[in-house]
This record gives sequence, structure tokens and C-alpha cells, in this order.
Amino acid sequence: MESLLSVKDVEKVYDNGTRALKGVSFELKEGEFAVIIGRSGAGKSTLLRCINRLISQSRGSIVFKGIKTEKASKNELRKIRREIGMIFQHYNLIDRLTVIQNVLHGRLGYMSNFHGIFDLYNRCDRRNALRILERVGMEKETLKRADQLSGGQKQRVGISRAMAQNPSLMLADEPIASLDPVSSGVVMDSLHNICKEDGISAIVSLHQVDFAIKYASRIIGIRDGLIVYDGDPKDLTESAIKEIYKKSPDDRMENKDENDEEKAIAV
Amino acid sequence: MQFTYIPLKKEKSLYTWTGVFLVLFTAIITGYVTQFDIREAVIVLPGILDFILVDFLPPALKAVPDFMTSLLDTLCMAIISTTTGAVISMFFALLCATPTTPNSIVKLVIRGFASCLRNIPGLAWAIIFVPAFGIGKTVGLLALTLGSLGSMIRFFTETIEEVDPGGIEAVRSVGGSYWQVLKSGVLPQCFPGIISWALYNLELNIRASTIIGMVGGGGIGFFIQFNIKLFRYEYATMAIIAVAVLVLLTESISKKIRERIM
Repeated sequence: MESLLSVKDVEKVYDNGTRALKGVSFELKEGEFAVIIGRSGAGKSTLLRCINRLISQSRGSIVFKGIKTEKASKNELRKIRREIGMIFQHYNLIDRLTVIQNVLHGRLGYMSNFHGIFDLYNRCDRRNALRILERVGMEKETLKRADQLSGGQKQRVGISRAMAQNPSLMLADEPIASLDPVSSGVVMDSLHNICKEDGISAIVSLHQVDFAIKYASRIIGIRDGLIVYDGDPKDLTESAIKEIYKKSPDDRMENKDENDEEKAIAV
Repeated sequence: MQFTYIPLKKEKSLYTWTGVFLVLFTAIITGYVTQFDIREAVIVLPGILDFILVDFLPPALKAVPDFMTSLLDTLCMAIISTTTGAVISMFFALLCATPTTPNSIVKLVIRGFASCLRNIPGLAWAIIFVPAFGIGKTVGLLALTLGSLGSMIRFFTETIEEVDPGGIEAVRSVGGSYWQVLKSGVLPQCFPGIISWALYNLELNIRASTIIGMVGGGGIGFFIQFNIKLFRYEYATMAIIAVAVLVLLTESISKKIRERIM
């Protein structure tokens, strides 16, 4: 299988001096379903946002489909982003808009400014959006406002929006962190099945190690901005989990995340 | 352990009394500087009451047909100036709100400009424009528009800055351009806030247009001023009541609109 994404020595230092990534390297092949695990503040979200350049890395190189994202012009960046679907922890839907309007936003990257500003989606886009909503079991909520949905439903709309992009790569930043266990299962099932059926590669950051083992074809463990585990879910031993969730001396999120390690190991 | 909070209570009480003392002290000093004498106000009060009860009442119902056109002018002036002001303010607000500004220099310049505008009341603009344009609705329109620009830019900017950045991030992540981010990520989120502020500004402009009319801005204010000068106080009373009814009506309609768009 060919490499879809190549991340090489990526570092990210925020303006306040926080080093979120300290030289992350990995390659993602087409069709892979990679799950990133690690403590809060380990650099998972930063890494995902560097891939579609919502955040620019400080050093290193990210190559998506042969294009270096850091060197991409505005137009090239739009083209890269429209091929990378993103699912967010807090769904990032526009609450006042309907489900279908939110899903159709996934097509904006393919539209001219004029068409985008006046919501002139073509018939094919509209039909496709409805089909995607059917696939995630949200067809009955098409005309509901996003703020009338439950958390699980909102996340499925988020998945639909990303699917509307017709992406080659799906990034999901803790997609089930705000959901109950039942909704988490439904959302992960939807995401996994869609990616598998459509042959979409995915990088999903998760806190729940049991979900990671269940769905991933590959697990990447990050600690303090460095990859400390990269391999098959079957090989993820208890000691490897301990290593991923080990507290670091300069852990700034100590109080917030003191239960992370216990939770992960308990699983 | 139960005495832990006693010093805090004492501290709080000390702060309260210091505050009360400072307010009273400031009131006495400013009263002295402005030579305000409460006794004088009490002495003239019966005269004022007599003047209002005898000269201003009862309101002259026959004045209604005379000022209906002026009242409509006032309403139209308030609507046009609010709409124009809102469109211009929205443009400036998008340029100077943190999530949508193209760069920090533009943001600083517009914020400074809005701040300057905010410090000049509509009445001052009317006084400036009367010599240039003469008495009439043009003065009222310009004064109301400029008078409301400063505050509307600020309100709109704050509304845009309060939108959920997640929506903006989502539109950026799908490959949306700057304009698409504005249209699909920012505007749907801040729309209720913007309309709400514009309606509030409309209420303010109806009130302000009455005052501005008195200094030459046209509309019902001019009618009130004209009749007071002719000692037809009961005509002025009727016009003031009409303005109050108009304001109440506008408030109730805008409240209903606000509830619907939320």
C-alpha cells in the first residue's frame, strides 16, 4: 500500500513557549485506521491540527499526497483541506443551522466564493449529503436545527460533514470524549464502518484504550510530544500502556489528568 | 474554625462604609461646585407642577393630524439611520473583530475610529450639520447615523468576538475561503446578536431623533420645539405622548423579533 501521509520530525512550539510536539515522525498508508492515544496535553490534538494546517508546525515536514503542506499556497491549502475530513470533540456544528446545512458545509472547499457565500450547492451535493445522513442513521433529523440534537447525533452530523468532503483522510480529535458509552459505541461504529467501506484512511485520537484496541488497525502512543509506541493493537501490552500514560516531570496538566493513567490501565 | 470568616466580614464591612463615604463626599463636593441647592428645587416645585398641570394638560387631541407626518418622519429617520448604521458598522466590525480581522493594524485603526465616534453624541453632530445643510431631515438622518455608528461598531465587534471559534475552525478545516468562513462560520452564529443590537439601537434612535429634531433635525422633535415656542404646550404634550407610544410599540415589536430569531 502507498503512503498517503508522511509526517517527519514535526515540532510545534506555541507562542507561550509550550513544546507540544518534539519531533514526531510516522507514515500513514492508504486504508489504515490509526488511533492515537496519550494523556491530555501529550500533543494529540496539536498533531492532528498540524496535519491539515489548522496550526502550522514550527519545524519538520508533513507531506499529504505528495504535497508539502507547510509550503502550500492558499489555494493549494484549500485543496489539501478539502481532502482531509475533520471531526471535532465538541462537534463544531453551527447550532442555528439545520443538519443538512451543516453537512453541506463539507462541500465549501470545492465551491467558488460566490457559490459558497450564496449557498448555491448543486443537486449532486444535496443528494450526496442526504445519502450520507442515511448512512449514519440521521435521515429523519435532516431539517432539525443542530442545537436540538443529542451529543451522539451531533457527532454523527460532524462525521457526515467530513464525509461530504469526499475525503482521502479522516482526522478525528477525541470524537467520543464528550459522549456516554452507548453513544460512543454508535459514533465509533459509524466512523469505522464508513472509513472501512469507502477505503478512507483515518487518524483518530482517543482517550479510551479499549475503543482504541477494538477499532484500530494501528496504535500510536504519544507522551510529551514524542511517539513512544507505534504498532499493532494486539501488541499493546499493559507495560506499553503504562509507558504511554506515565507522568512526566514537567507535566503541566498534573491535577487535571491524574486519573488518566489509572483509567487507561484499568481497561 | 468557625471564626475563620470574621476578619473577612470586618474587611468587607470596612470596604462598604468607605465606599458609601466616598460616594457621599463626591456628591457633596460636586453639589458645592455646581451650586446645587435642594431647597431651591423644593421651593420652585409647586410652580413647576402648576405650569405642567395648567399649561401642558390636557393634551390637545386635535394636534394629532398635524404631527402624524412628523411622527412618521421620525420613525423613518430612525429606521433608515439604524439600517445604514448597521450595514456600515457590520463592515467595520468584521474588519476589527479578533476572529475576522485581516491584520492587527486595521483592527487598531478601526477601534480607534469607533472610539472617537462614540464620544461624539448625535446631538453634537446635529448642531454641526445644521449650518451646513439647514434645518430638516437630512441633518437628522446624518446625525442619527453617525451618532449610532460608534456604539454599533463596538456592539457588533463584541458579538462577533463571542462566537464559538469551533464553527470557524470547522469551516476552515473543510477548505473554506476567508469569505466562506465569514458567511458560513461567523454570520450564522452572530446573526441573532447583531439583529438584537440593531433593534436596540432603533429604539435609541427613535428617542434620540426627538431630541435631534429639536435642534433642527426635523421630525416630531421639531414639531414639539415649534409648538413650545408658540406657547401651544398642550400640542407639545400630545406629541410627547405619541413619541412615548411609538417607543413602547417599537420596544414590544423588537422584543418579539428578538425572541423569534434566538
